[in-house]
Amino acid sequence: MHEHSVALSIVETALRHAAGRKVESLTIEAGLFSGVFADSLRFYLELLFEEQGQPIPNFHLSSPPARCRCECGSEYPLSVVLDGCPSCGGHRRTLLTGRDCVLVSMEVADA
Amino acid sequence: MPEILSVKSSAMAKNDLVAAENRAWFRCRGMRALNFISSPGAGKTSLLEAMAARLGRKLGVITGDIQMTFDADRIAKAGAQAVQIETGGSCHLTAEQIRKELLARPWDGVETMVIENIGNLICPSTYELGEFFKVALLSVTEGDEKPAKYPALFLRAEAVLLTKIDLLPHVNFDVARAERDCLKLNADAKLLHLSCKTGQGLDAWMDWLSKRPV
Repeated sequence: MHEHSVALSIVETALRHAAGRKVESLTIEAGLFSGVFADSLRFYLELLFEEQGQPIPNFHLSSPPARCRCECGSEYPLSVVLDGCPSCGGHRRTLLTGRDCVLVSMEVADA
Repeated sequence: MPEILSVKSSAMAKNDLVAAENRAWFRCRGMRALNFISSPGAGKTSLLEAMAARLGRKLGVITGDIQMTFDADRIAKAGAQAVQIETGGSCHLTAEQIRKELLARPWDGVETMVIENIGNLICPSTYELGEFFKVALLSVTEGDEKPAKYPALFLRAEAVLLTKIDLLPHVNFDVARAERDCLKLNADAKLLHLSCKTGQGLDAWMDWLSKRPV
């Protein structure tokens, strides 16, 4: 349900960067631990663009694995939250990515 | 040809900025600030009543609910300084809502500020409010699989309190499994067993809280 506030923030940022130009597409990554559900986010994004009287862009939404650094030194992608380090099996790790929901890039029409 | 713009902006950026201001506000006043997160009915308010009985007006509480002010009333009656935010439907508190409450009253003498979030295991997890750390409450009546199902919270919680532990003989809750999963998500999580009904674990919780560096 908080996807509504997440979508609101993304739409604000996108329209600011577009500076009046038509937004053609948005590329968004919802991290493994971002708590954001992609389908729900898409629903609110469409709704908000519509409310703003804007054409609905294409959304490229993905949930990439989180990047972790284990205390054993290895770095690895994590896609199953309870999995351990593939090298040592441990769980004492630093999360390098995966907490955030990020508007990575966008396409805008020529001015 | 459309132009591609690199943005790389977190959806939380605006909220995080205000959260950082709140954190600075707490630091300037030497207050420790915590964010209590759990499902509805896990015992956040009961724990806050028990804490209020010990800390009195040194405890400040900002409590969020979709509607009604029962929680703030209960906590204030127990002796703490408490204020209610009614979100009117929103499923989590935001840093901006907390900022307004911090500025709206003197909070004289408060040493520990607890933000009691909306009862919800998902949405509040990713909204920083300016707290120094998050505390997850998980009651044994909810089920031992909750840490695995709601990793966004249990990854971020510095302490996990298993509440209503006095009910353990009456429910099928595998403490070892719940705790193992908590530690897989956060290897440094402090795990405590608590019952507000019997008082079990309250001393250990208050002791950990008072010693946790801020």
